[in-house]
Amino acid sequence: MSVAALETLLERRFHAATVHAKAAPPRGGWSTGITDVDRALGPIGVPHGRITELFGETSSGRTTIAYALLAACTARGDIGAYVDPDNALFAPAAGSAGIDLKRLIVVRPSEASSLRRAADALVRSGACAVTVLDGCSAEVLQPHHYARLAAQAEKNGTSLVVLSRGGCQSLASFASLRVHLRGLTPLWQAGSDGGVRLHGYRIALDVAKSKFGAPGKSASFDVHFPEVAGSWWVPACADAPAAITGSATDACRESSA
Amino acid sequence: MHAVNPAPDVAPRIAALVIPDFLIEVSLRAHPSLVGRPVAVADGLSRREIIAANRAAQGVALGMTPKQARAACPGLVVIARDEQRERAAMAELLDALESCSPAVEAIRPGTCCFDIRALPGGETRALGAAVALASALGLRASAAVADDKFSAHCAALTGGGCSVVAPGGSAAFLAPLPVSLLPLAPGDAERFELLGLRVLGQIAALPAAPLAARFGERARAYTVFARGEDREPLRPRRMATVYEERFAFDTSVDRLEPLFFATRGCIAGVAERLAAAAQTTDRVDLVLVLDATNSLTPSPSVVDIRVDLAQPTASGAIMFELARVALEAREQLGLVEAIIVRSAPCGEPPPQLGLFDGSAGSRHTALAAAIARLNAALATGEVVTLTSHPERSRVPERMQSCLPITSPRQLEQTRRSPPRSRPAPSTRTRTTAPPLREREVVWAPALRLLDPPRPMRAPAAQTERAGPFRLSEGWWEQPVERDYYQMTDRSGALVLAFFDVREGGWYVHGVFD
Repeated sequence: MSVAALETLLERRFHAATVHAKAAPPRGGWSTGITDVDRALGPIGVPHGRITELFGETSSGRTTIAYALLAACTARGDIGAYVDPDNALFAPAAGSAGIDLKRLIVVRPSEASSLRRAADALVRSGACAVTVLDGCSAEVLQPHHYARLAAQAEKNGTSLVVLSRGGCQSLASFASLRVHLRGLTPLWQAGSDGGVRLHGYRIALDVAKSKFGAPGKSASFDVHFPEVAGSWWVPACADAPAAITGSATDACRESSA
Repeated sequence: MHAVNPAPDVAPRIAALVIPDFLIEVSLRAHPSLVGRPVAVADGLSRREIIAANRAAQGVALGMTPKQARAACPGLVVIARDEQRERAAMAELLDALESCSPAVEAIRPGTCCFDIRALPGGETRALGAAVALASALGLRASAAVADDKFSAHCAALTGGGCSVVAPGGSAAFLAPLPVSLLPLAPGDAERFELLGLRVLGQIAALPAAPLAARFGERARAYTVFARGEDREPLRPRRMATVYEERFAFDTSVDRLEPLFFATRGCIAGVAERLAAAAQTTDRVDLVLVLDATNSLTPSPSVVDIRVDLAQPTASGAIMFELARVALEAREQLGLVEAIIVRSAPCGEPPPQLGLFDGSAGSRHTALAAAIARLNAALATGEVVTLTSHPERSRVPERMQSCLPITSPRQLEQTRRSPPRSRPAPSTRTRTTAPPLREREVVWAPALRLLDPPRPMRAPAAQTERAGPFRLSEGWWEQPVERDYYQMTDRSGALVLAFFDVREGGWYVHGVFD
């Protein structure tokens, strides 16, 4: 089959979706604000108007990268969107990551069809500079959905970021940038009383595919816990000791009482 | 404004409903525990003064400061005026009266007039019904009917209960009443007193021209009022016009294409009528009349679909596009035999063209379109903004709240505030941290919340974990007592788990990702 025939077949199959080999390079991209990651992602970072896939197992660091992108988006005054079918977005954590929650549209579809419609509405409107599809989104969307989303994202300049486990071939095909989050390594620290505390965790990633940069680069960075409980910001407990192990938790309990 | 002009062959009969202590009544509705106690209402920004007091407030005079009033009447409760509550009470009263009469006018807070001619049962019964309606709202009122608004108002104020001024008897009724009932300009009351003009009959007897020469043109209005010749028509509230278009199918349809065809036509009709009236709407209601006779399963005969437009418009194309999305989102509509499209003007002027405001206009339009599409396609409450409330609670699921997005203004009103400074790591953390090579550090762990928490098996004793961090809260209503741990679960994921101290059992509450 000739190249022209193949292109014709693709356009007929995917309703005249753009073939990225011929597309102009994106006008720019998003920086995650993490130097090592930005260096690995290449000259433009996460490209505008393209699909980016962040894939890895549960607890591999995908959400950290997505938060960083949304923080960069809302910091510039743009609107971001987060499609969250699992209701997993935790506002205190997102706020701590720098996301301006007042400029973030959170969509919590209860059905697969609603998720598809939400993704379509967000991308085709061009209102959101960054749209993150989380949870089961990658499995719910079919190849023709990705084709349509890719075309609309390119037309409107929306960066569509899909968090997945990496098993979706059609998403891998349509994504201009694929980042493999290899995993998350806890950073344990010995406490003075013989126990341990979680100092933070380390995220390692590889760039599996990049149409506008060099794939194959790796990066890693550390995420440290700023607070005692380590999981969210607790102002009332900010003066508590930095490490509490065993059952010595009365400092928090007393301050709450 | 629509003025109700009486037919020339029918004498006007206008009823007035007056709530003498409106401010007090409204305050007591909000504070029912104060009924029977001396109460006064104070108003004013720089100098607060008493503007109303009930009969139990002995010795309190209008114009006193709250301190003076309390000194004059020990035990007095002074309440700040709440105009929003007054407006709400007045709106409730008007709504109630409009259930009886089509033409109801709000004269001032606590006073309204309505056309009584068409009401069945006679004037006295109609007045009694109006007083009963007000009483049901917690407002003690008096009512009267006369040939004009001023006479009816005076009769309601002076008569108490229900009063009827006979047709043609307004002048005789008003003659002995004091001139203070007139809407006098400042200083006119003293000047009438100097001239010995104390009752309305004296004003009515004077020729209008000399009075106007001495008092100004406003005195002509005094003469008209005093003679019972006030012919100002009722000016009822603007009645909400609802534009409606219907389409009935020859045979019931169960496919979307004919439904879209009918909807497009109906919406085009509604949009034309809106545009012709220079009005816009922010909402379209689709009513699908289902064919229940051919349905195998019992189902409702009517399906209401509300389509919020996010931004006022009179564009039929926009309305149809969102209606199409809303119809597509509903699966298994059943057999439809008719469709009704309704839309009410929202009162906002048509939006200005965004020709000269750069890209901001197009961004706003795009955002409005996105929100409207999302709301049309998804169920209520599925498109939200999140707010973090770390100060409200320490329990993760109570630390955030969500607010449905209905308008793009919700996302555009607030300019971005400078990012909250991330809590600096404590000194102890820095000193005890293991030596790290040159590596980027992010101080914001991304936690994915599991709500509700997912039960898990108790971790093995040798599992490496940090904790417990005790959270104990809400003992007075929803008690929570948990020991939180950070640990690696059996799949290797770094999770936030807790042991429920009250009920026992282990739960995963979040995953670090």
